[in-house]
Amino acid sequence: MLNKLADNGVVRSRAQGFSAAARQVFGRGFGPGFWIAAGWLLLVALCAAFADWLPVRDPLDPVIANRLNGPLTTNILGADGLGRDILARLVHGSRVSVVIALTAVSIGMVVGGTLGILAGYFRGHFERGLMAVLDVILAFPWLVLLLALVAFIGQSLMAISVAIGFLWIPAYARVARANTLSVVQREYVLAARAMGASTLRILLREVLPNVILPVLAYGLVAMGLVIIVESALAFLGLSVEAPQPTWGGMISEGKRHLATAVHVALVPSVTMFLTVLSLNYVGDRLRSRFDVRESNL
Amino acid sequence: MTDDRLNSQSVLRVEDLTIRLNSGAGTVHAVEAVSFALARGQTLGVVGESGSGKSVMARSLMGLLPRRAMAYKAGKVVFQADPAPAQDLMQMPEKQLRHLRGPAMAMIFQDPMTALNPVLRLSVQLTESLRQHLGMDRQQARRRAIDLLAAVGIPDAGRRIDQFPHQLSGGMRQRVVIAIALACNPSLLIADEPTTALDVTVQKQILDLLARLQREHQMAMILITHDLGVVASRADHIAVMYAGRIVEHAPAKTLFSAMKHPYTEALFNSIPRINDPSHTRLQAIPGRPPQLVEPASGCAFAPRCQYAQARCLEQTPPIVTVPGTNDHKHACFFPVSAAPGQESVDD
Repeated sequence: MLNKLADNGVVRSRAQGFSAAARQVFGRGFGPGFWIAAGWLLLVALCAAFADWLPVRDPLDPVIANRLNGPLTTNILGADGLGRDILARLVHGSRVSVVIALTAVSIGMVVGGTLGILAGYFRGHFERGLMAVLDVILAFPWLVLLLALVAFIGQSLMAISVAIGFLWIPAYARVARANTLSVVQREYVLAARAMGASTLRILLREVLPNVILPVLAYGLVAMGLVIIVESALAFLGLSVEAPQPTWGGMISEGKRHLATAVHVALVPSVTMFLTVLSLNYVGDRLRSRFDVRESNL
Repeated sequence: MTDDRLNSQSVLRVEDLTIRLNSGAGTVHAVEAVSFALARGQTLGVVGESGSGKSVMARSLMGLLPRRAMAYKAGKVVFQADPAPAQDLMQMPEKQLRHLRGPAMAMIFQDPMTALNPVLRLSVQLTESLRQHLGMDRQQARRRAIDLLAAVGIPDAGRRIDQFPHQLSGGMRQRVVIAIALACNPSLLIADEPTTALDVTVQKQILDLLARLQREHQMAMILITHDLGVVASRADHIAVMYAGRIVEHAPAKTLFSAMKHPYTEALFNSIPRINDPSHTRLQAIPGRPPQLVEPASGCAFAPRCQYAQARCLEQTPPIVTVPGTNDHKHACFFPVSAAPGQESVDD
C-alpha cells in the first residue's frame, strides 16, 4: 500500500516535471491564439520573401474575360476590375507592406532608440532640447507631415519607408528614454561605474540590453500601425506607384466596384486586418511576457 | 593585528571631507568635516542610522556621486596603493579616477537583487573588469572568473558562471557581487551595508567570507552598517556617524567599553538583549533624525539627547581626543562618563 502510494508520487512528480519542461520549451501561457497569429505572420513573411517563386499568376497580367469574377471561380480569390488575379496581387503586395513595416520600424527603433537612450542617460540640456523637438514632431498631424515628406523625397519604396520611419522616431525615443531613466537608477549601473566602467561601456553593456527588450516588444505593434499608415498613403495614391500592387492600393481600386463586386476591396481589407491584428496580438503577448520576466528578476 | 605596525602605511586618509548635495528642498549637508585614516588590512566600521550620510560618504570616496547633484565639496581623500604615490582623489579628473576603480578600490552594494544586471550572464559581469583593467583575453578572464566564484564559496562555479542572476539565491548573488568587486585585487574595499538585505544566517556567512578575503588580500575595508552588532567583532575601528558627522571614533573594544557620545550610548542601548526577560520594552531613541537641509546650529543630536544642555543647542561641539588615549575621539561637550550596562569602567 505504502509502496504503491510512493510509486504514484514518483510517477506524478515525473509527469509534472515533463509538463513543466514542455511548458518551458513551448512557451508558458502563450496559448493557441498566439501560435495561429504567429503562423499567419510567418505566412505573410514567406509570401513576401518568395513571391516570385510561388505558384501564383502574374499580378500584372489583365485577363479581361475574368474581370470582377468572384472568389472560387476562375481565380481562387477572384479578379479585380482589370481582370488581374487578386491572390497574386496580395502575395506580391505583401512585399511592399513587409518591406515598409520592417524598414520604417527599424529606422524608428535605431534612430529613436539611440536618441532616447542618450537623452535618458545624459539628461540636462540635450534631453530638454531633444524632447522639445520631438514634441513638435508629435504635435504635427502625421498625415500632413507624411504628405509633405513624400512630396519632398519621392514615392519609391525606400523613400516611403524612410518617411514613415521618421514619424516613428519620437515614439521610440520616448519609450527608450523612459526605460533608460529607470535602468540608470538601478544599483548595477552604479556598481559598473564603481568597477571603473566607462560611459560607453555602461551604455552598451548595462543600459542597452535592459532597454532593448521593451523597445523590441513595441516593434511588432508598431509594424501593424506602419502597415495601416502605408495603406492610408496608398489609398490617397501616394504610396509606391502603380502598377506595383500594394494592399492599400488594392483597397483603393476596389472601392469603385463596391456596389457590384465587394470582394475586390474586401479580400485585401481582410488580409490587412488579419495581419495587423496578428501583429498586435503577438506583439502584446510578447510584451507582457517580457514584463513578467522583468518583474521576476 | 597591531595598529602600530600598520599605521605607517595608511591606504586611505580622509581629511575634513564635506559634501553638500542639491535636492529639491535645498542644499543637503550630507557629510560634514569627516576625517579618518585607514591602514592596510584594517577594517573601519561606520555605523549610523538611515540618512546619517554613510552612503554618501562612501560614494564620494570613490567619486561616484553624480556631478549634477554636487553643490559643494571640500576636503581631501588621500589614497595610496602600494607602489603608486599618494594622490588626492578629490582633485583627480574622472578619467584617471576610472582607472583606479576596480584595481585600486571597489565597492559592494546593499542589495544583491539590484546590484547585478538581470539580463547579463554572470560570466559577462565578472570578466568585464578583468578584461578592461588587467588586459586579459576572453579565455584567461573566464578562467579567473571561475576561480573567483569558487573563492567566494559558490559550488559548481564552472556551471554557475553561465547562469543569469535570477537563477541564484540572495546569498549567492551577494557572493557574486563580492567576487566582482574583488576581481582586480583592490587595496580598498568599501562594503555599503553588505548584509542588510540578507537574512541572519546568510549575514554571518557573508561577513565571514569578507573577513577571510580581507585577510588573504590584505585589503583595507570600510564596513558600513546601521547595525552595531555587525561591526562589533569585525571592525578594528568604529566610527559612529550622525547627521553627516563622525560623532565618535575609537578602536572597537574601546568604543564598547568606554563610549563617550550620548548617541553611541543610545544606539548601544537600543540593541535588544537575548537575556532580557521576554516582553521587555525595546529602548528607542526618542524623536527623529534631523533633516540635513540647512541644518540648525549646535549639536545635531541635542534635540534627542537626554544629557543636552543650553550650550549644546548653540555651539557645534568640535571633535576632541579623549585624554589619555590617542585614538579615541568624540564630539560632545558632556561625554558620558561610564559605559552603560558595563560593570567595570576602565576609563
